[in-house]
Amino acid sequence: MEHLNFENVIEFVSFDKLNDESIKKSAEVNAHLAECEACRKIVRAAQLLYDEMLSECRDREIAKEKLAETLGEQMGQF
Amino acid sequence: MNMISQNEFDQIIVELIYTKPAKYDALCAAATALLEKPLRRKFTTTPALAATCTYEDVLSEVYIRLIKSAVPSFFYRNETLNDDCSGFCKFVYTVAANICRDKIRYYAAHTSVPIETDDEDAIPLQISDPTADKMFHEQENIEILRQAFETVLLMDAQVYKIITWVAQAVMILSEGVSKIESNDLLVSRYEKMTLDSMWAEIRRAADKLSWLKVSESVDAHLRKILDSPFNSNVRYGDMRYADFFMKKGAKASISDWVNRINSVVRRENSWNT
Repeated sequence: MEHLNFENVIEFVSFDKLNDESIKKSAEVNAHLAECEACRKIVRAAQLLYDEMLSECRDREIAKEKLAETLGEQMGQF
Repeated sequence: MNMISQNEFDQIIVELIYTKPAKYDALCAAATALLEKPLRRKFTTTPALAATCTYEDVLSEVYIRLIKSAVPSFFYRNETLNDDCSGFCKFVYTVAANICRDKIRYYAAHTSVPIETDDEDAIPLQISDPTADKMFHEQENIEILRQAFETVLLMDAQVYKIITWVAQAVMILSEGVSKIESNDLLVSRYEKMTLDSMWAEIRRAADKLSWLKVSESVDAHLRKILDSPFNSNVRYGDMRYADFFMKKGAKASISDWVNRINSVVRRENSWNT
């Protein structure tokens, strides 16, 4: 593997199930990451971004819930 | 804090760093050994955690997180191999603690409980200021996030794929649309635009996300690619649909990534209703 491509990176940072396929693919990616600083930087960045996007989606829904059900008028700014 | 032996730690390095392809047996065994007692204790003392998942769920997520992050974020966080055994144990504990924290926050945000309670995991304590944790998180990471986004923009991939991914991600994040809605919006909004004008439009939309700023140098880099003979004057609608989305097969696509984000939102919405 010369360098990870876009799909390799996305697949690696977003897999969320342990099965034969994800283990096999992640093992290949990790083998490359152990040797390639450039790809490690990209994976770290992509992982951070992916996690933040998930969190952003969660937080947006959470804020809506609090507005409607829990804090209501107590939180005047909402 | 529990520790693993030097031999166990060395075996993790052998399997993860020197074995091609990597193996995870020692890594997962070490995580189990380190976490079993404290994690089970956490479940018995934290009702909010026990209400939302099982011990096995958390351990499985720890495995996945370690598989993704051990090499890039611990063993090779810097250019040389990090062989600090006790540091690795702390890393595993931190990973597990973060997963538990997220589970508890998720539970707290989606559960109604009486205001008066003696439970130390009581929801009111966690939601007294629902924005506080988020603001701290954003302030702490805003520069890293900006760099992360730019790194993705600089990836070696066809420019229209990058632009499509960014457009869809920005749309979902800034306008609150679903993945399915964003597919239609992508077409109706950008179909007749050239890739160049589409990128300008996306940048304006991205300005709504405070943490998502694109630097002039990255912007110039992308514009240079867009100015190449192949890309100039190409309209978004001229790109074949199949170029963007791989509907079948094992490969995760750009669409897949966005879809996963959206599935989380849908799952939470269905839980709420």
